[in-house]
Amino acid sequence: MRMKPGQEQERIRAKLEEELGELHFLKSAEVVARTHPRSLWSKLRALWNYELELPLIPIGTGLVVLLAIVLAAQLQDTADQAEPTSSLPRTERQLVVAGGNTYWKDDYERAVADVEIKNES
Amino acid sequence: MKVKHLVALIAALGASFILLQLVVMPKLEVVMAKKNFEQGAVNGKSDLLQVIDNSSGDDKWALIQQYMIENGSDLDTTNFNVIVGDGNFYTSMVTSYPEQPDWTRDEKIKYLKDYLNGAPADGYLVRAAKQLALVYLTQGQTAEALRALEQAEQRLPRSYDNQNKELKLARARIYVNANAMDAAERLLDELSQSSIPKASYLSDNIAKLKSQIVDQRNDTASSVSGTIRRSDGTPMTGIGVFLRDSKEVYHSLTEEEPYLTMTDSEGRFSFKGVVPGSYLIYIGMNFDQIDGWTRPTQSDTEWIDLRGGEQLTRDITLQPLIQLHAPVDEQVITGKTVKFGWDAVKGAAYYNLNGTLPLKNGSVASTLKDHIESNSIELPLETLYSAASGYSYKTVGDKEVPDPTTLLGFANPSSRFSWNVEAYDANGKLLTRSSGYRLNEKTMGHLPFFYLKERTLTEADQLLLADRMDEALLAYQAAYERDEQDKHSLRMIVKLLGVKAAEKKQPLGADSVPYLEKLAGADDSGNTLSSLIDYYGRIGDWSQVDRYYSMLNEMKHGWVPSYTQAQYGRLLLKQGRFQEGVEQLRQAQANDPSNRFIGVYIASLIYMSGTLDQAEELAGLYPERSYYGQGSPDWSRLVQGMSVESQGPNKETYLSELREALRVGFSGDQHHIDDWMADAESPAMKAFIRALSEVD
Repeated sequence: MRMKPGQEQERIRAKLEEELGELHFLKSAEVVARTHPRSLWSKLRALWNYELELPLIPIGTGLVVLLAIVLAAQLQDTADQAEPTSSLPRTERQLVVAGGNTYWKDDYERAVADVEIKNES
Repeated sequence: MKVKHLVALIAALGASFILLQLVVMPKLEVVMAKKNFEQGAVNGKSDLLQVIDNSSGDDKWALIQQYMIENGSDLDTTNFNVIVGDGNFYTSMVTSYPEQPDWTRDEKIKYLKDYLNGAPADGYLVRAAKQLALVYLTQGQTAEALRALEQAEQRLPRSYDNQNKELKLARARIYVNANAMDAAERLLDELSQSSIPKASYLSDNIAKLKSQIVDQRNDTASSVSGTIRRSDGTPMTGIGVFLRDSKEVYHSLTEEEPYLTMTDSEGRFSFKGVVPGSYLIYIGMNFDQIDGWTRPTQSDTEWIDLRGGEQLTRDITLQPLIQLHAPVDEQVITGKTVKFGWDAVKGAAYYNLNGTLPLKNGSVASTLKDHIESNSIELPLETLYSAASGYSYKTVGDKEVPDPTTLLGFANPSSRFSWNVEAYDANGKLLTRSSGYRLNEKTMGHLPFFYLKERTLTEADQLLLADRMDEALLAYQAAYERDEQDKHSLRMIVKLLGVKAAEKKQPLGADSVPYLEKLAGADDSGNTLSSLIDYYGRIGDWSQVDRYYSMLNEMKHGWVPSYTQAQYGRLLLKQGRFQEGVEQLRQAQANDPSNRFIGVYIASLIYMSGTLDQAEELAGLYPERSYYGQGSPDWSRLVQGMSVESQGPNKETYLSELREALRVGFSGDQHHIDDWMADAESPAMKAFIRALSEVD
C-alpha cells in the first residue's frame, strides 16, 4: 500500500521514538553550553580548556636564560652588598723588610712605584 | 597542550624557583662565600660573615668551626704577630695559616659566644671556650675569660672528662696570673682529688702551677712588675709579657717557659715568685699595636739580675717612630755633600745616623756618623764612601766570592741605599728610632731610600763588579800610584787586602800597613786607626799603638767604642802598664752593657789590689752576658772559688802566686799560659786563668 509522504514521516518518527524512547542525553545542556557558551563561568571554562600549540624549545630556552640571569644577578648582589675594603684581606698580605722598616709588601711596592713615577716626571 | 596545562607548568616552575631561593641559593652562597674567602677576594671575609649570620643550627656551627675555631689559638699566650726582645725583634705567626682570617676581637667574641651557647658539646666547644677566654684576656677581662671556660665545663658531658680537667687547669692558671691564689688553689685541689694519670700533661702542669703558687706566696722571693704604655700615656692592654731567663733567650719563645703573662686593661703586668737569675723582658704585640711605634731597647741594656727578695718595677714605654725628611723617596744626590734631616725628638741629646747597603736577602748596616747634636747634618760624600761596612758573599758557579757591590759600599752609583736614625738622651739611653713597623698610609711616611750618583765607576771598579777581584786590586794599586790623592783606590786597596787576609783566616798583614797609614789621617770613621792599633799591638810596637790610640781618641772626641778601648787596656796590661790598663778597662766596662771584658777588668783589679774582695763584688754586679746559656764564664763563681781556695794560713802565698799567674794570663802568650797550667796546683786559680786567657 502506498502511503502519503506525511504519513510516512509520521510513521518513521513514531518508530524512532519507540526505538530510542529509552535513551536520554543527560548532558545535553552542558554540551550546548560548551559549544555555545553563554555565562562567564562557561566562557572561562572554555578558555581553561583552550587547545594551544606552543613551540617548546624556544620557550624552554628562554625560561632557562631568564632563570640564569635572575640567579646571577642575585649572587652579584650579595657580593656588592658587602662593604668595599680598600686593601686586600690581611690573610693574603705579606710583610717585607726594606730600608730597615717592615711594610706590607703590596703597600711598599705601590709606594716605590709611585716615587719612581714622580721622580721620572 | 591546553591552557590549564600551561598554567600548571608555570606554577611548577614558580614553585621550583621559590625552592631554589630558599634552599639552593643559600647553599650556593655559602659555597661562593667560602670560595671567595679562600681565594682572598676583596669581600671574602664580609661575605663569609654574612653567610654565617644567615645560617643556623649545624650549618652555622660547621662554618664557625671551619673558619674560626680550627685556625684559632687556644689560650696560647705566646701567639703574637711581633715579639720584641732587647734590641732584636722578630715577627711570628704571620703566615702559618695562609687562609686564617683576620678576625677582629669583636667578631671573635660574637661568634665564639654564640658557639659556646648553642653548639653541640664536643672538642670544638672546648677550643671555642679557650679561644674566647684568650680574646677576653687580651682585653684585660679576666672575669669574662673565666666565665667562658666555666660555661664550657658545665656543658660538657661526662665522657669529656679529660677536656673538663684541662679547662679547670686553664682557669687555675688565669687565677694564678690574676694573683687570686685561693681560687687557683681550690681548683687545683679539686683536680688533684680526681683521678689523674701520673706523668701526664695534666699532672705535670698541676704540679708546676702549685709550685708557682708557693713561689708567689713567698714574700722573700723576687718580683718584677710594671706598666706598658705609649709615650702619650695610653695603657697597652693585652700585650704579652714574657720574663725570659738568659738560658732561654737564644731560642724563640715557647709556652713551656715559666713567666708568661698579659697586661691588664690598665697596661699592668707582674711576675711574682721569680727565682734568682738573669732575665730579659720580651713583649708580644699585634700589628696594630706596634704599627708606627717602637720599643726602644738595645742589646744588653735591659738585663734584670735577680738575687732574691727584690721587688723590681720595670715600666715599658713605646715611642713613636722618627719621621725622616731627606734624603728620601729615592732622591738622587749628585753634589759633593748630602744633607740628612729628620724630626727632632724631645729630650734627645744626640742622634746616631746609620746607612744600609742593599743585599739580595737583607742589608748591611754601618754607622755614618754618631753623636750628632742636631736633627740635621750635612755630610761630605767622602764620609759615606769611607763608612765601614761588612761585606757579604755570593755564589758564582760553585764558588763563594765576596759580593763586589758590598765591597764598593756607598761608592757604587747604581746601588739604592737607605738610612735611619736613633735618638739618645744625655745618658746614652736610646729614646726612639726611625726603623720599625710601618703598616699603614699614615705610619709609612717617606721611603728612606736615596742614590749617590756623584762619582762614576772607574776601570778598577768595573773589574771588581765583574768578580775579577785580583785584577781589580792591581788596577786600584796602579791608579793609586798614578795619583796619591785617589782616596777611593786607597780605600779599596785596604778593603781588598782585608778580604784576602780574612780568606786566609789571618789578621791584616804588613802589606796593608803603608796603605792604612796613608788612609789614617783621612778616615774619620776611625776604622783604619783601629786596624792599625790591632796590627801594632800584635807585633808589640807599643809606641805606634799609643800614637794611633790617641789619634782615635781625638777623632772620636772621647767616644772610643768600648771594644777598642778594652783591647787597648789589655795591650797596656800586656806591657805591664797596669795603672793605665785598669783605667781604660774601667771606662770600657762602663760603656759596655754586655760586660764582655769584665773578666779582664776584675783580673786587673785583683792584680792591682792584691785582694779578691772588690773583684767578687764587681763580678756579681756585672755578669758577662751570653745569648747561649753556658757560653760565658761565671766570673762571680770563679772568684768565689779562689776566695775559698785562698783561705787558711797560706793566704799571702796564694795571693802572690795569683799575681804571678795573672801576669802570665795578661801576656796572652799561649805557650807561656800552657806551661803555667801544667805546673799549677790550685784548681780554682787554674780555672780563673783559663777563663781569662779565653776572653776575646
